[in-house]
Amino acid sequence: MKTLLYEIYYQTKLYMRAKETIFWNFAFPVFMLIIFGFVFRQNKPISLKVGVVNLDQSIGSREFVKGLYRVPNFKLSEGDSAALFSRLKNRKLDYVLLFPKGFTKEIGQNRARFLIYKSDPSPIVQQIAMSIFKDVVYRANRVVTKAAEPISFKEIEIKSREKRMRYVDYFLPGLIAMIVISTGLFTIGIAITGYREKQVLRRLKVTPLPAGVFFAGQVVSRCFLVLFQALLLMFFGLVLFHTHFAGNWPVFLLVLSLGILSFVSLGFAISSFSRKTETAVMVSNAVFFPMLFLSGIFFPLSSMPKIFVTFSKIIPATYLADALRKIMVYGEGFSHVELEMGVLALWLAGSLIFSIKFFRWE
Amino acid sequence: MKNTKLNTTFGLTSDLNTRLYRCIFFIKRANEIKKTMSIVQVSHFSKYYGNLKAVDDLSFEIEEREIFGMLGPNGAGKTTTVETLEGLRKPDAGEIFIDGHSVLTNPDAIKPIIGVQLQANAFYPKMKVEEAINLFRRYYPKSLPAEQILELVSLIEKRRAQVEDLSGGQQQRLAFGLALVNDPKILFLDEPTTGLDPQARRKTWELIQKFRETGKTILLTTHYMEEAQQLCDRVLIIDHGKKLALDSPQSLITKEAGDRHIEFTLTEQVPQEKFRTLPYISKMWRNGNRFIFQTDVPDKLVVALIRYADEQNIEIRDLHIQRPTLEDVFISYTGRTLRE
Repeated sequence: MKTLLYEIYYQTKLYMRAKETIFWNFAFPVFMLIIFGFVFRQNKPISLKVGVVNLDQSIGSREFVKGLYRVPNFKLSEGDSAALFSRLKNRKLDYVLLFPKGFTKEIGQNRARFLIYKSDPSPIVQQIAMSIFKDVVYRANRVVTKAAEPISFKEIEIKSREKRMRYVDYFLPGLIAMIVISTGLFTIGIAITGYREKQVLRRLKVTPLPAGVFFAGQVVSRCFLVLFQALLLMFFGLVLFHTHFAGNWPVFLLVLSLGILSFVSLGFAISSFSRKTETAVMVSNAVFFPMLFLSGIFFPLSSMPKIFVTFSKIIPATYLADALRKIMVYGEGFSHVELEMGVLALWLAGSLIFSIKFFRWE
Repeated sequence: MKNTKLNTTFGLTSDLNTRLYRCIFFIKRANEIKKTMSIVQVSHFSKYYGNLKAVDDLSFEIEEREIFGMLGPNGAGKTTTVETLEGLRKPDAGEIFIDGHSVLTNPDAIKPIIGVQLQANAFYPKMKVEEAINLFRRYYPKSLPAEQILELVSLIEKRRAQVEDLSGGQQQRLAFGLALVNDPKILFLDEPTTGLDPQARRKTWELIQKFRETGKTILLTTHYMEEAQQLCDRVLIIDHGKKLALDSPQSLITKEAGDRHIEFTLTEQVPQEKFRTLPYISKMWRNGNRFIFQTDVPDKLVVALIRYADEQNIEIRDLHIQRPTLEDVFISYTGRTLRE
C-alpha cells in the first residue's frame, strides 16, 4: 500500500514535470474554453421576447404597454396568461409582464405595481433586461408625476422546463471529456510505449514491484490529474462565463472516473500493439481527432451528415461527453446516465481484455 | 543395481562392497554440498528464437564471491543468458537456480536478492537522481540508504540533477547504483562499460572491485578482453550460444594460447601455406595480411622467420613478440577476433 502511494506520488510528479503535457492538458483546454467561449458569445444586440398579460385594460396600463412597444430591444406579444406562461416555461419567451386589475386606479394612489415573470435568464440577459425595465418605469413615472414613484414592479422567478444552454455550457463538459480522452491516449498510450522502448518496463520487471501496483499507480495518478484539470476548467468557466454546475458531485465523479478508466485502458490497449513510440503517437492521434470532432464535443451532432452521426454512436467519447453534459448542465442524476455509463463500461471491458492479452513488458 | 554390478564385476567381498558404497555416498553428499555453495547453477540451458539457437545447451556454475565474466562477440548469446538468469526471459530447455531458487518456478524469491544493470540504461525520463534511487528503494523489502548509494557511485553533487542531463558515464553509474539499492547478493551487469570513454571505464572497474570486496558475487558480460582479464576470476567464453571454454583468464591463456606470440604484417598477399615449412610454430592464425605464430621458442622462430623471408623476398613489417591475451584465446577457439 505504501509502495502504491509512493508510486502514485512519483507518477504524478513526473507527469507534472513534462512541460508539453502541462501545456496540452492544462493550458490548452483553458485557452480553448476562453477562445471558443468568447467567439461564440452572442454579440448581436440582444432582443428580448416579452409577453404582456394585461388584466387591467384601462388607460394607464394601455399607455404603459404602448411605451413598451417603443423599446427597440423588446419583441412584444400580448395574449392570455395561460398561453404566455406556457411559452415562458418553454423558453419561447424571456419575460412575461403581468398588469393586475386596477393598475390605472393604483397609479393615482401612487402604488401601482406590475409583475415581471422570468425563467432563469442568463446573467447578461437579466442585467440588460432589468436596466431597460427600470428605465421604462422611470420614464413613465416622470410623465405621470414629478414627485413620488407611482409605478413599480416586482420580479418573480419561474422554473422553466428547458434549461437555457449557451455554447459555453455546451462546450465545457465536452472539454472535460477531451481532457479525459487525451490523458488516456497520450499520457498512457504514448508514455507506456516510451517506457517500454526505453527499457524502463524491463528494468521494473526485475524488481519485486508487483505489476498491479505499477498499473494502479499509473491509473490513480491520472485520475487525480484529470480531476484537477476538470476543476480548473470549471473554475475558469465560472469566473469568465458564469457557467454553473447543476449536477450532483458523486454522480459527476463516478462518471468521470469511469471515463478515465475506459480511456486509460484504451491507452494501454494502444501501447500493447505499438512497438515504437512513433507508432503509438500515430495511432493515438488517429483515434483522438475523430473522437474529438465526431463526439459532439465542439458542436452538436445534429448538424452533421448522417454517416458521422452513426459513427458517433459507436465511440465512447460521445457517451462520456453526453453524460458529463447531462450532469453538469441539466443536473441529471444517476438514472439518466445509465446508458452512457453502460457503453463506457463496455469499452473499458473490451480494451482491458485486449490489454491483458497483448500487453508486453518488452 | 550398483552393488550387484560391483559384486559381479570385481567379485568384491561384502565388507569391501559396503565401504565402497559408503564412499560413493559421501562423494555424492560432497557434490550436493558443493552445489549449494555455488550461487548460480545453469544446466543444459537452451533458448531459441524461431530457428535460431541463441543459447545451445549451456551449463556453468558461479561460486559465491567471484567475479564471473561472460565473454563473446555480439550475438554470442551473452545477453540472452543474463536476461534469463534475471527472469526476463523463459528458458526453452534446461534448469537455472539462483541461490537455490528456480528461475522458472520461483522468480519472486530471486528478485529481492539480485541487482540488475541492463544493457541499456533505463530510467524514467524527467526523474532526478536521488528520486530514482528512492523510488527503487521502495520496491525492495530492505534497502541501503540513498546517501550511501550516492556516495558509492560518486553522484552526491548530481543528486538533484535530472537523469536526462547526466553524461553517459554518470548515467552508467546511476544504473549501477540502482542495481545496488537492495544490497543484492548477486549483481548482473550486462556490458557495463560499453560506450564509455577509458576514464569512465576505469571508474566502473573500480566500482565493481569495490563492490566485490563487500563479499558479493558478480556476473558481467563484456566484449572487452582487457575488462575480462582485469576483473574476472573466471571467464566463460561463448560463441553462437555454445560454451567454448571456462576457466580463470590466466589458465585460459597458458592453456589455449601458449607461451608467446609472434605477430607481424606483410606488405603483400602471401598464402598461409608458404610458412608451413617453418619450424617451432605450434599454431598459426592470419587476419588479412596480419599473421600470428604461437610458439614456445620465440627467439629461434624469429631468426628462422627472418631468414626465410629474406630468401623468399617477402617484406615483413611491424614484427613483435607478445604475451598472448584473452583475445588470442578467443581467436584460437573461433578463428575470429571479437570485434568482427
